This record gives sequence, structure tokens and C-alpha cells, in this order.
Amino acid sequence: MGKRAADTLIASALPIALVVAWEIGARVGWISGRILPAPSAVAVAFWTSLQNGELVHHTLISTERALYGLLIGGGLGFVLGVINGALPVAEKLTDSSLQMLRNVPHLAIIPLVILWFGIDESAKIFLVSIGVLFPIYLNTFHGIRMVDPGLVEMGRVYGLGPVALYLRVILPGALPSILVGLRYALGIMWLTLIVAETISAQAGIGYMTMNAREFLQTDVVLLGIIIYALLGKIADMLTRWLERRALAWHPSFQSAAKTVAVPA
Amino acid sequence: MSWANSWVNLYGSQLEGELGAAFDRTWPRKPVVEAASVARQSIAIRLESVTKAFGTRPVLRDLSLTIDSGQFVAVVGRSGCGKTTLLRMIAGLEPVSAGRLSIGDAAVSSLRQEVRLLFQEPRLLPWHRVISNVGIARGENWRDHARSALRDVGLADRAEDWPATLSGGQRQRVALARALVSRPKALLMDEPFGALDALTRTEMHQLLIRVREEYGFTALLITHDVREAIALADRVLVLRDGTVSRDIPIDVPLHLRPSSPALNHLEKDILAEV
Repeated sequence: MGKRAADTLIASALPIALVVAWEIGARVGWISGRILPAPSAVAVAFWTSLQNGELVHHTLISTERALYGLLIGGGLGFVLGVINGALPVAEKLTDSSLQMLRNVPHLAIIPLVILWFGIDESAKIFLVSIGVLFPIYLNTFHGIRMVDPGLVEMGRVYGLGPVALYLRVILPGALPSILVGLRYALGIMWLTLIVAETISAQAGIGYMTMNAREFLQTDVVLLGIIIYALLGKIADMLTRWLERRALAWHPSFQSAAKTVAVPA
Repeated sequence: MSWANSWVNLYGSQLEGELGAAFDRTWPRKPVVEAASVARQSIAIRLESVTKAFGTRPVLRDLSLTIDSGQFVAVVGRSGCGKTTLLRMIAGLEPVSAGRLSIGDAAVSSLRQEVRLLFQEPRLLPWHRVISNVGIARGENWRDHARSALRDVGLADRAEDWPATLSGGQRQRVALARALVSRPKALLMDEPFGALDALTRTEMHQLLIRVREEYGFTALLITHDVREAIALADRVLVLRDGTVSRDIPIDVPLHLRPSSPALNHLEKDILAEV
């Protein structure tokens, strides 16, 4: 057995032991099924809702809301970050206002959002957009500001026009920071969506769990929580993959083979 | 390494190290008068009563200087004497406060493509592979030009590598290739070898001598290393308190410089002055 396999085994020993203990506890009757149903019950709930199509239906609706929110809020944050990073005038004009808004917890404006948009889709998408806007804005802005001025000067000396300078020097230089912002934003995206869907929805994972609560289907509630966790994990894995691809030049993303970085 | 030894390494025929292979064809060195495949081209740089001040603090005072087309001039001076400012002005990165600065027939008002600048640090874009760094200005057939410039600095086989995988000397050679790729008429160098170890620096000196023979550009080297200045330049300027305090032509042929007692004496002389 390889060292990696052994490491994986050690790392997964505790979670597996916990699940086994939980299952046994539920079967024997130490744990009430209404408080915490057995893992097998959750698995059955998963299978049932998968077969009747409900799980896919709700997951797709939640994912759609999340992505719309990310697209709108993230896009806006990115554009603001680029503009403010490039133009000191724009920064003076908008940055302090943005910093002020950033300090408002976006979940605190839920009552206001319900007054504005009612409880339909736009309310949830709006909340997610507000949630992801600031981490993307801040990290884009910061990333652009932290680009080595020596490289920018080099680009100018070697004849790069403003567009080429932006595309080949400034944005790639800011990319590591932008991707950190994206990962952070994805976490906020799911969190916001969970809260928004729990408060009011006619579909989505949040609706599914709240509905299950009314009927005391604790297994479905648990299933919803697990689905949220999985969606968050998938989003994180996607950004990690994106990072590895986009930052292949970065010493910390290069494999050991052939790439022993020599300090300058 | 002693003074004499480093000269033997620099001009001896038993050259070894990374650059050895690249030099085989042209070593031992003989003056190259015939034009290379592409025309050698250079341009004169002229300063007339140039003054530069940052706020009220004068950095360069009433400086007049002519660098002939094709000449190799080294400027030495202690840090803060204004030598980097001088170079940045000629490069078009800093405006002159008073006086006239011209390259060729035209006054310098902004960045010019026939003048290239080699910075103290390589300043490579870490997210571009070596070849894309060399061909940063792109343009027609840039890959071919970049490849040929990389060959000239002995790094043809690293074209597809990331800059992070190169050593400090290799990075500075990539930076040199990036400067050469557009066939500049003048090359301005701001202590480009200052951060390298002694052996690598000696290799870079040889490389610079070789590419200058091939390309023929006017060269201006800013350095605090008096020995480096004497080893490479046709003319050494001592910059002190914002003005040229000494202007010394060096007529000894490059290959005789290591054994020249006169130059050895000159080095001590300049060091005493700086």
C-alpha cells in the first residue's frame, strides 16, 4: 500500500467511525429518529427524492439562482474593481461609498429586499449579487493595485499600448488575487442563498428542507444540508481547478518535476 | 577570485560554463567589422546643459555630454549621484528640467522604440513563457525574431519554460534578448549585473561584448563597479554631485585590458575619486 493510500485511510478513519457510531446509535435507539435520523435513513431519502425527480428539480433551481447572482454581482464587482484600480479619479469617486456599503451585513437588508422585490426570484438573486459583489470588487481592486509597478514600467518601455498593457501585464498580475476573491465569493454565494431560500421560496433546496421540517421529515432536512455542503465543495473544487490552470506559471502551482525555482 | 584570475577567466580560451557552447563559434574573439545578417545600427545621444531637479533638489546640473554613435560609455558613481536619473531621462521615462536632450536628430520627448532599456532586475512577466517575454512587443513574425534573439544569448532551449524556473543570470539573459529582439540603436543598462554573483557577472560581460559586436548599438552602462566599467566600455564617465567630474577614454583593446597595468592603476584612481 502506498503512502498516499495510507494517508487517505488515516484521514478518513474518524469520519467513517463517526458515521458507523451514529448508525448504530440510531438503530439501537440511543438517538431519536426525530432529532437525528440514521445515515441509512438519509440515504433512503436521497434515493427517494432522486427517483421522483424532486432533488434534481430543487438543486437545479438553487444552482440557477446562485449562478445568476454570481454573474450579476461578481461581474459588477469585477468591473468596478478594474475601473477603480485603473483610474484614481474613479477610485476617489466611488471607493469610500463602496467601503461604507460593504460594512452593511447584506443579510440584514432581507426585510427591505422583501419589501422591494416581494418573495420571487429577483429577491434571492439580488441578495446573492450583493453578497458576492464586495469580495470580488475588493480583491480585483487590491490585485490590480498590487501589480509590480516595475513590470508596468517595463511594459510601457517595451511599447505596449494601454489595452495590451492591461491584458498582458495588469490583469494577469491581479489574477491570483481575483481568484481568491472568487473562492471567497462562492462561499458567500451559497450561504446567502441558503438564508434567502429558507425565508421564502416555492422551490429550491431551502424550500425543500423547510417543507420537510413542516412534516417532521428530519431525514430530508439532513439531506438538504448535505446537498448544500456538496454544492459548496463542488464550487470550491472548480475554482481550485481554475487556479491550477490559470496560474500554471506561478511557482506554487508548478509540479516538482523540472521546475525547481531558483531564487533570483 | 582575484583580480588577475577573473581576467584570465574572462579572456582565456578555456572558457567553460553555461555560455561555453554559445561562444564556440566566435571564440577566440576577433573584431567583427563585416555586417551581420541584419544591419548593425546605432545612434548618437547628445545632452546640452541638461539640468534635472526633483522639486527643489537638483540631481543633475548643467550636464553636457555627447555619446557618439556606436560608442560604449560607462557611467560610474556612488549611489545617489544621479546616474539612474540620467539613464531614465535618456530613456524618456523622466522629463528634463532644463536644457536639451536629443537622440539622433530628434529631441527626446517620450519613449522611443529604437532605444531599449535593461533594468536592474530582469522584470520578466512570470505568467508568460520565456519566448513570449522576449517577443513582448509582438508584431510580425515575433516568434522567429524572439527565437533568434534567444539563440544570441544562448537560451534557445529554454524558450518554452516559465521564467520562474530560470536562474538569476538566465533571467537577465532573457531580459537582454527582449531588449535585442527589436534591433535597438541604443541600449541603456541600469546596473543590470549588480545582483548577479561574480562568475555569472563575468559570463554576462562576455555575452554583452559579443552581442554588441553583432548588433552594433550605442551602449550606455550605469554601474557602481569600476572594474566592470573599465572592462567593457570605450569611455568611462565619473558622475559626482550631479555633474561629470571625469571623462576617461579607454583605448586599450578589450583582450589586452586584463594585463594592462595602466588600467589597473586607473581603476584605483577612479575608486579614489568616487
